[in-house]
Amino acid sequence: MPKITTILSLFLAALCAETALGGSRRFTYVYEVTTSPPGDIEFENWVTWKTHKPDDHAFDQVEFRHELEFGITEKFQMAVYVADWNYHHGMSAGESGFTLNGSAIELIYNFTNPVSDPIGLAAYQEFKAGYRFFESESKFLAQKNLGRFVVAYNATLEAEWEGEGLEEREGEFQQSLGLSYEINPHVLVGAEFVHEIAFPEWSETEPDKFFAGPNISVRRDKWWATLTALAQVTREGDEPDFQVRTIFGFSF
Amino acid sequence: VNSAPPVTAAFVRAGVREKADAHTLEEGRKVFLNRCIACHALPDIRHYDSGRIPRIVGWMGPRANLNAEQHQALLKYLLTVKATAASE
Repeated sequence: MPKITTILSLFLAALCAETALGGSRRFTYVYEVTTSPPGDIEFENWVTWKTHKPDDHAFDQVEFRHELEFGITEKFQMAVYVADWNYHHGMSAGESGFTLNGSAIELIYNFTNPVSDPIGLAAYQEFKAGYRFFESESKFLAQKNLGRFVVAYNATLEAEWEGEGLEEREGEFQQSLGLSYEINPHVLVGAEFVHEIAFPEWSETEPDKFFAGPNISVRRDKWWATLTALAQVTREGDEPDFQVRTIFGFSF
Repeated sequence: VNSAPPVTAAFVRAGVREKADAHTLEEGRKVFLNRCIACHALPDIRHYDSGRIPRIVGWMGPRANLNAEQHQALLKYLLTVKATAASE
């Protein structure tokens, strides 16, 4: 509970700061099809807190990501995840402590505009590497802007290789949906929904997992912050019942 | 899309008053549709005071990393949107 209080306090403090305008993400789990303008450089910090699994009530994990995002052309952006790391605690997390997961490169290319075209489309590709770990994540992004409303959908295929010779393989298919309403250019509210299916060794299929919850986004002159709280709708024992993700972005 | 009317022949004629040609107006519309939506829903410029539009573009343009040419194109496009609405 103190963790939630701290996160909310920081977020409310941010709301009261100077008023101006900035670019940002409306969602934290769902990607949008729009890309950063050429020459734009943004620093994003992610914090995701996952807690309480049905099979491990003491489970707690806080994940951190530090990302530098660059607008390359009108339709293309690139990002570098400088470091992904986490602090974990609980039976299912092994020994309590910190783990460095690796670094990644992310590329997004926009094809169509979500306002003037019938649907906005973009492609996303991410490659992540760490100690005895490699991951490829491909996404198809779709979005429609209807005035102050935005609907965004992502379909993701993830492939992971782990182990000494990268012999352990796993795949995952994920779908996510985001709905957002712009109350004013500084405050947006909405909801996000995530559906995941994992394929261990690409031969088995694990049960479906669903998560859903509200989000809020705040934009200011040089920075923005978005927070999403997701609850597990299914009762999968090895998945967190509750997770909160905040992304704080700062533009140079 | 109602907030960003297409650049028709009538729109280009209205743009002459803003000293804008068809190419500039097309460029301005492109900037409006691609850059502005990264931060906010497209406003209905027809309801804005003409004197306020240059101030808003001057304020938000740097945040959208607009160069001088894009800034001018956007401004002329928006002023032409306003002018066409006023003449209707």
